[in-house]
Amino acid sequence: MNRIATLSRSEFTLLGRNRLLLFNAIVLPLIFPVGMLYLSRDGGLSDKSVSAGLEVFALFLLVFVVFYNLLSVYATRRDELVLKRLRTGECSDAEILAGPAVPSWVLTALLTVVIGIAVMVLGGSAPVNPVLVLVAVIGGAALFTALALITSAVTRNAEAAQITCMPILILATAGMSSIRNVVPDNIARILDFTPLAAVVDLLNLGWLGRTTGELADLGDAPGAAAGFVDTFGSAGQPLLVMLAWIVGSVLIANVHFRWEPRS
Amino acid sequence: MKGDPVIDVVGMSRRYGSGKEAFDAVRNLDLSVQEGELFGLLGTNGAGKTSTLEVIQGLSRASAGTVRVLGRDPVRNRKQIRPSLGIMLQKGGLPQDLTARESLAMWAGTCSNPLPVDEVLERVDMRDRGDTRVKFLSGGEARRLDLACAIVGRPLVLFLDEPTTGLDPESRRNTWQLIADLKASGVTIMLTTHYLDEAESLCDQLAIMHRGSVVRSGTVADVVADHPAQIKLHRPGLPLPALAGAEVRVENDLVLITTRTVQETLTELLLWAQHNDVLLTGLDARAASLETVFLSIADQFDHHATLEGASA
Repeated sequence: MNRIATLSRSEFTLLGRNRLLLFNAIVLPLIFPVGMLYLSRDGGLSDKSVSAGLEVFALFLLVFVVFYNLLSVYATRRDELVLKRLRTGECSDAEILAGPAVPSWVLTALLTVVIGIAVMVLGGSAPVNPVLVLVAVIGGAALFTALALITSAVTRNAEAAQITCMPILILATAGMSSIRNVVPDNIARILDFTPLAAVVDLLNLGWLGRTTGELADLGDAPGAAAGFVDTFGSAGQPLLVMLAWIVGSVLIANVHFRWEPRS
Repeated sequence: MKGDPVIDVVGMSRRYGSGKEAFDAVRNLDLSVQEGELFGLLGTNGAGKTSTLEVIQGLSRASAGTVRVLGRDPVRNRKQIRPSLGIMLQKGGLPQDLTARESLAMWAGTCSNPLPVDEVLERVDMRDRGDTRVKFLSGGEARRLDLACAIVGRPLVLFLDEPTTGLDPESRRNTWQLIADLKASGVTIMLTTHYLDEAESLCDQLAIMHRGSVVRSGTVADVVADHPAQIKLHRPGLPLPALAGAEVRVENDLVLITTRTVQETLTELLLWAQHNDVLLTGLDARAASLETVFLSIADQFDHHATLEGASA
């Protein structure tokens, strides 16, 4: 535990010295969703507006703060031979990889609290099932950390990350409800299985008590949202999707992750 | 009375790749290092030194043979023995945007029982560079910071892979002194170097590797003892007399004499010159040194290899 604390302290210091990463990590994930929420006020916030704000937040948070940031960190530390050196010491492999991820996870927690407060201050509802919201955020952070591990296997350094991030960026965007709601139904059902779709579905259920599909069809006189207990019923599929992505990514990373640069 | 060796390697091979692509970086290697000893591993580039070190350190698995460090398997018992090892790799491995002190503190934080960071910076003469970012350190300073990382965890066994490469003469002296102090405090040290004077003055035992195998080993005196001394001179006007026990070779205008009885041969040569009134110019006689041994090994084995290659 001490070893992870030491490694993450260094990583916090390094993050503080990289203005661009810092901006991407703090300002970017807040400015769009908060702006959207603010502009869509109408004597309060409708469930649709809250859902749209949370979704954009999840996208920026998981893609930039977690995925892209960790992808550059792992690629850079490998390029600098830091990973190789750490493996000559007392740290376990898991500690070596978890240490640099801690700042991103801490930011994830802080930014989620900020956006939650913003939603309620601007007139949105409080979460129906906070447990599912937590699962969505924590699971999402774990999932996109694992995706960063896999992607870093084919990423030489921080510059290369600008290109190698693309497949996951596209995969993540494809799971947004704004896309799932306009493509043909059979394609939408496939997109339900993408990483961000699972996160968004759990967020909608947890915060608003409604599935992503229900929110899209919501008319002027919406029916009652599901209560705390009922939301767990609809959470099964997105939970399984999330779990499958995490387990699959970790298994792949376990085989293909590289500790040293190619010679 | 000797105890169990701290490092014990028997019949170790390290193979890369498989099938037709397979390449043995290390072949059937034996070596052992006693407690408190300073062991030098020498060899040309590509001789297999780093591969050997990696297996002993538990960073990679041997393809054959057994390896014991402090009586344990360095791969399987990694958790138990790592806290006792200090490893200085050939190159860097610290975050470029941390300062020297921050990066040493990071490394110290991963050790079970680290020394105070400033004390270690002092020992490698890096105290006044503590606030400099790693990326702005000179090659020699970076090397000293690597050494600081290797010793901050109070290791019982220290591995130094080319510790003085890139150091100026003064820093090299300081590093030698530091290594000697560590040895005096009982640390067992395994070192690789390209500087033969370094090996000569530091190592108790050494092994010279060539193409994956140990070709000479023992104390510096042992290794050098097998080797003849060499006398060089410009070719004189008269043909040389027969010199007992010596081998004479003429290369262009130079005469090269190799002999195991340098004093006798030299006396014979000088008396002959006096009798015949010959002036010997460019006369140079030297006992075998690690350097002559090293060069002759490289020559001799490469020569054999070329012959084998030609007959195949």
